[in-house]
Amino acid sequence: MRRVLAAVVIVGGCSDPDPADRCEVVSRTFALTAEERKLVGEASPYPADPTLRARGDALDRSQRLRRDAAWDAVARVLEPVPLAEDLPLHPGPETLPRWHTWYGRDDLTRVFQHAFRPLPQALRLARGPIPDDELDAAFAWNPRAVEELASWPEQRWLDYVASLDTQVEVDGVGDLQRVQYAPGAARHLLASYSDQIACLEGAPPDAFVDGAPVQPVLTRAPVTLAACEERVYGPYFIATGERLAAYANAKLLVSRDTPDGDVACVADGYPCEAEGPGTLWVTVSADGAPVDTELVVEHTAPDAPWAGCLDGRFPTDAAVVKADWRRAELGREVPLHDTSAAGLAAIAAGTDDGDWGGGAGTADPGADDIYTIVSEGGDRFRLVALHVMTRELDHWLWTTLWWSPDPDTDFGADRPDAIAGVWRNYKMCATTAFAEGDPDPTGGFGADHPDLAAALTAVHPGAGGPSWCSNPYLEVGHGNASTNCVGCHQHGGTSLTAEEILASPDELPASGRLQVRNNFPSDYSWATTSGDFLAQMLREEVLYWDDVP
Amino acid sequence: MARATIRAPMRTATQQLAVLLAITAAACGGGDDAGTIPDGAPIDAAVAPVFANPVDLPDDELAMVALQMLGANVEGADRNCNACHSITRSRLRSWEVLSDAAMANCIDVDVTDPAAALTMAACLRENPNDATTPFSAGVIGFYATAADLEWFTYLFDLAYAADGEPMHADFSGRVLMPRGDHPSFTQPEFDILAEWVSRDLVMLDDLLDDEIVTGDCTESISQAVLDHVDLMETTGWKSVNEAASLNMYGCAGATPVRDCMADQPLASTLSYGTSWAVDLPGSKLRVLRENNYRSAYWTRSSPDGRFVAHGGNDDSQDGNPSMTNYESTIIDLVDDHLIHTTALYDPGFFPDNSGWALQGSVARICPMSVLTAPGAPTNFLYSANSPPCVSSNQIGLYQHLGAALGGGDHWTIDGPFESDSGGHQTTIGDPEASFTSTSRVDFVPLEFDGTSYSVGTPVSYNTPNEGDTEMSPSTGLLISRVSGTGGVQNGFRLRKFVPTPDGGGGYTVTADEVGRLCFNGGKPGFSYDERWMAIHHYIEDSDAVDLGFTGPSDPGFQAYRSQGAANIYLVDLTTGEKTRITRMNPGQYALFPHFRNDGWIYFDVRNSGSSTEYIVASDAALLVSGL
Repeated sequence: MRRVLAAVVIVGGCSDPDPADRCEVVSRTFALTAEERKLVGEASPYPADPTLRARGDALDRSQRLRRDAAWDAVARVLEPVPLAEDLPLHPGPETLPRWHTWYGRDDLTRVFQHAFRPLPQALRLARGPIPDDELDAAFAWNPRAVEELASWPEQRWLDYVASLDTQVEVDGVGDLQRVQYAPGAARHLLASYSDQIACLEGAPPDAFVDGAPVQPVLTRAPVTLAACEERVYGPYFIATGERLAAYANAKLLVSRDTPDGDVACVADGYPCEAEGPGTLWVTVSADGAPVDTELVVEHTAPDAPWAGCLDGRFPTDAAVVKADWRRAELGREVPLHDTSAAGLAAIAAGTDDGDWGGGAGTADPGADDIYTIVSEGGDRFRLVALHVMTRELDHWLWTTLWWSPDPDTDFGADRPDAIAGVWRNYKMCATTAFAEGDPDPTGGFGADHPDLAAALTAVHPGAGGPSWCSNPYLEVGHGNASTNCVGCHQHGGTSLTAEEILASPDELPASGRLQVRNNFPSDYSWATTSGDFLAQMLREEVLYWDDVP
Repeated sequence: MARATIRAPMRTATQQLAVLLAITAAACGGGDDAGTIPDGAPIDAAVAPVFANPVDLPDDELAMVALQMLGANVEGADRNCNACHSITRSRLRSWEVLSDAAMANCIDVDVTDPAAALTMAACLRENPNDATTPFSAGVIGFYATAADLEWFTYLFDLAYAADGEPMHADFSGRVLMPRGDHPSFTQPEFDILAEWVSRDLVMLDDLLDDEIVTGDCTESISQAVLDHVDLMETTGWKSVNEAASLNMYGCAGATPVRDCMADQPLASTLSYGTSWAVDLPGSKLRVLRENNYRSAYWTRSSPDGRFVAHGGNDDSQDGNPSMTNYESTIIDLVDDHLIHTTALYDPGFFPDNSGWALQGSVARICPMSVLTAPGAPTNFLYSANSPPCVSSNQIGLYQHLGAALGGGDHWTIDGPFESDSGGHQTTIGDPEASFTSTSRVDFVPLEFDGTSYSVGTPVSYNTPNEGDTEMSPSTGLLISRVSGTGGVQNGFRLRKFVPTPDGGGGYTVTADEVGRLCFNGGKPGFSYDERWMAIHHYIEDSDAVDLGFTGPSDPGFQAYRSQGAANIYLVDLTTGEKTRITRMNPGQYALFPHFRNDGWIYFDVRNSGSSTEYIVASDAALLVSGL
């Protein structure tokens, strides 16, 4: 019998699109358990593409290149990885998708305790760094932790291994995690424990962090506007004592904090200058006649710490997934969402304004059609969606998958053949930046994948507008169908909630999709102050041992 | 083998009742009539609405309708008050006594003077002379069903003026019956009940059979219990939490576990506790905290032993001392601070240490992260939309929580109960156990859908002549107090809880008897390995010899007879053997024992006539286990 430990952590029914119908308590699953980890072994490292960063600008400007890169990342996280232990009664391959071997909160708690407790008291009290070799040793010990438990005698282990004789049970060894962390991400989070605690007990950095000025940056961008059209550029972060200077042969408006913020300067055919410190936006507009000009902006940014609540940025091989599991029993089926061009247009035009809603229709896919696991208690769950974030780019590569009964249409039309098995039934969208840099709404798919082209067009904001990528299962609630992952995640490590972000159009316009921060407290991860509440877990552990010599 | 059925939606009143209500409503105007204005009174003088309209029905029809409304075991009855209270003759007569006393001493239905109204409102408190004590349904008996009707609203508006609405809300929130998802009585319905009370519960004995319950008890522990305990030793919540490295309060650096909380004083070193542990040599009783307020009903703690919760509070957070907003308390033993919450009582913690629940007008369920975040609150105000907590009116009073292992669904259980909040005054003997043959419990599944838990369809199960039912941490075992002759308890019954999906989106359940224990007590607490149970027992004459006296007439025992006391007992579920682990002094009540994950037992000590209480920890189970 396998073990799935499901804990109840109530985060409220805020994400329930219809909270009046259900009294929900949101759970947080603590796994992998010790015995599951022994079977799985150490988590399989994410084999990041080190060349991706150099192509970042190209990905920003091309939806086709972006989607190709995202499918490649998907293939890397889905790659089957063999289990560390043999299963004598299981006839098939004893593998898990790579992502499903990654660490959950229970793993991180276990590893951190193992590494932290033996430290000298003085080091613990000072919240000093855990030596690298000791942290590595703790991760290496983790798969053997079960051998130290009195509740797991040899026979019990043998019985457990013998009980795993179906593929869904083998897949269930990876457990029902909501969030799982690749080794690169997990290690960085634990190594940053003191930074996380400091932010938790103090306050995370503000959206704008000042600092010594870096080298001035001069940018030029061609601007073509129809009559009465305007386009917004930014944000530009300006250090104290420095300024932004913008020029275009058109009307210019420089505003503070948001595009609709306080006016810093206006100009028409001559330079517009505004002083720092702060965040500035430049709006170029045409009056009754079209404009064809060039926007020149010179600005000097501050040297702000990237991730003030971590010990620096995540490494390139960091990756995190967020899963949406759905019970496959008690009469529950998978709700269906229309992500075609027509479906997306209906979402945008709906009265809920950007809410995916509960879907239209349901399906009851079997294990041959959807990734399915069985828990130790015999409960069956289906994976309806999976977020994948990988640190190969400055602002991460954001990829998300969702199950569909018609998987080869719209966002699944360009799926490469290398994506096989049940994973052929998942669609995908991806973002790499706050702004959509591809001027072609169709992403260039008009000839080979016209329904994908139409769907991309339906959500295209115009060149330079806020980008789009939203998962109909994972992004619930008002306004969440009009998001782009990166916009909300820039606030990771703060106390903001998704609901607050989406409900603050003045401070965080465009459903929070625009960049408003020049620093990212936990480098885009919500795990520290939300979800798994890792900072709180680390703090509780640290405080617990303070008085022990 | 009895099988449960899915509970049908709450039935509306029978046709007979509906017709009768229509008749009485038409005849009485639905309670909207105002009283006449006294001659000579100022034009803007208060005018008392009708408390209860007279009902012109024959005695037998009146009594039958009243019994049906209450949920008594008569034909055509709705399930209502009997969801929590056994509706027996003696119960109804006890409520009649309370109602008559309230009418004689507290309620003047024609009150128009604000000062008099204020006195009347105070009279509705647990202690009329102490404005810090809560309003209590136990003061007004049947009239608790009128708490939300016009007359009581008028009373509080008259008494408290601008504060009338919140004061009435406080009163109604505590007193109104029935509770949970049972609809409140309308004025016409209350009129019937009040009329029946005014006729001294006429025809009660003719229409409601008094149940004959024997006092027979044959102790038994079946193989099913032994198998369950054996399984829990490795797979139970104790092991699961240990594998998850749950940090236990007071145990950092402590080896063995009996050395936990070594910085807390032994009761034997304190003047009031010198004799508490003498009858279990080698055991430790550590006083974790001294509280300066009276707790209400039971106390329960988080599995890690860090948080202790109960109804009652020290009123320090209420802006108006006479208005008890923050009715319950969660104590954080780490930094010894109190968290006042606006729930009422009945705490429960999930066995995986992930959250807790408290009862108010509805059940409130919250994550543990609320308590452990930096700058944890000293006040916690529940509201209709107070994430991260959620509310549920599907979970009734006296709820207990269990979480199935192996990723299974969580469950709550509630059913008929006897209020047990003794020790504030002299309390002799255990609470009644007057549970009828129609007693049943409601199991409410919290179904895990892969992302969140949702309250599922409740399932009822018949547990004749049982009540005060509790669930073990794994949900595998149930323990109930059993009715005996004359409403005296006749031991405990152990049941094995087995839920099975019914293929239609819900569950069927079985709860077969697997054990019988032939001693009395209250508020059992299961250990997390589900081998042990702890109970409290109010001292009575039969305990004299066990306490070392020659008998009840022994002069040394007389103080116990006059002041009362309660002790804690540890029960080994594999043998049924019980061990008394405390020896409280006269006037001291050790109550509501419960386990934390590592086997330490926490309990509350009340002092009769005092608001000083103690939170105490015992290692008795560890000692007896040989650890």
